[in-house]
Amino acid sequence: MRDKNGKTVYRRRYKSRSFVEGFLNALQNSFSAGVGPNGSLSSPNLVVGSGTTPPKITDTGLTNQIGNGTSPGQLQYGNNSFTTPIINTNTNTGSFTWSKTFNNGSGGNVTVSEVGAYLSGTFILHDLLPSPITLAPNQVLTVVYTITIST
Amino acid sequence: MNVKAYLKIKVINEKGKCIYYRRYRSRSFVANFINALYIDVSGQRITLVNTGGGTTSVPSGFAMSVTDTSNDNSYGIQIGAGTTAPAITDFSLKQLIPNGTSAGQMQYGAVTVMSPVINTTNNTGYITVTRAFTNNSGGSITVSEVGLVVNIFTTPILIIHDLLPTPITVPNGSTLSIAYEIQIAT
Repeated sequence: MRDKNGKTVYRRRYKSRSFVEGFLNALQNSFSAGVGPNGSLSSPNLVVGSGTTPPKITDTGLTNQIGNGTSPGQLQYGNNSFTTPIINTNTNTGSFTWSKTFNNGSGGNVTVSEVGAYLSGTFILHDLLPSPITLAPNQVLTVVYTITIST
Repeated sequence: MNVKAYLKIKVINEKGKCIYYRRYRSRSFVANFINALYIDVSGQRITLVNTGGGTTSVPSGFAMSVTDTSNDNSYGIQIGAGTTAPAITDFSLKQLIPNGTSAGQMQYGAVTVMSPVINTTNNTGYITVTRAFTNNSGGSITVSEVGLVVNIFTTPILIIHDLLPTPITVPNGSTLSIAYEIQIAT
């Protein structure tokens, strides 16, 4: 999280634990589809919320998604951004990141306690943060998911 | 990442008796998988390496289809006789056992993708991709590696490559059944 001057004021890295049922559905749809766009894993969308309920595999959305905007309790959603995969042939690992910024232009504090993601309109990922993060006015939260494989 | 893959292997002899069963943790998603996922999710274009070793550039918006018909070894689960440890840059099996009934060949069945199974009690779920391979070659065949090849705009792309902890000898007349089970936990 950065303050209005761009200074980093908070940084944490957690292991994401909560792929949900929608991910399996999307993967099954992709695996069993024919050749072409049907079944693609597209239209990415990272979202944040203020819910505090532990994720369940059947979740189809955040418990309490924070809306996009500058009204009280809202955050301004940036664009989804990706880094090109990095393949490390020494460690046989590879990863890319998926990130988005959330700017607090609401004029008041906004607390984020859950994070999630959609692909192709399907909710695939739901994580409850170990500690909620409170954004003061004009602070910017950046959420980064790192997708990693190892061979 | 809380996605895990398992490999289930079974051999049924010509009398219908199960003579071999093992379940292993699959450990070897390869670079093509993360690259394909990146292309599809991000909409950016980077190259993939097809099973022939050539590079291919595809636009986003594709399914990673593993479906394949019987008597074809182009896509889906493949088996091989290679014994080299998988590397992240692998783009094919080391020594593919082709479809057929000649010496050293096996008859590939159709690929099946099962619907997700969700367990709300322990917040886990999985999907399964299966394929049977029948040995009508006239002799025993040893299988030591397994892979999963997806069909992206008719280009075969290897996304998983596993070396079996112990090679399996499939007698003539027997059927080898292989299942990739991809699990999540919430």
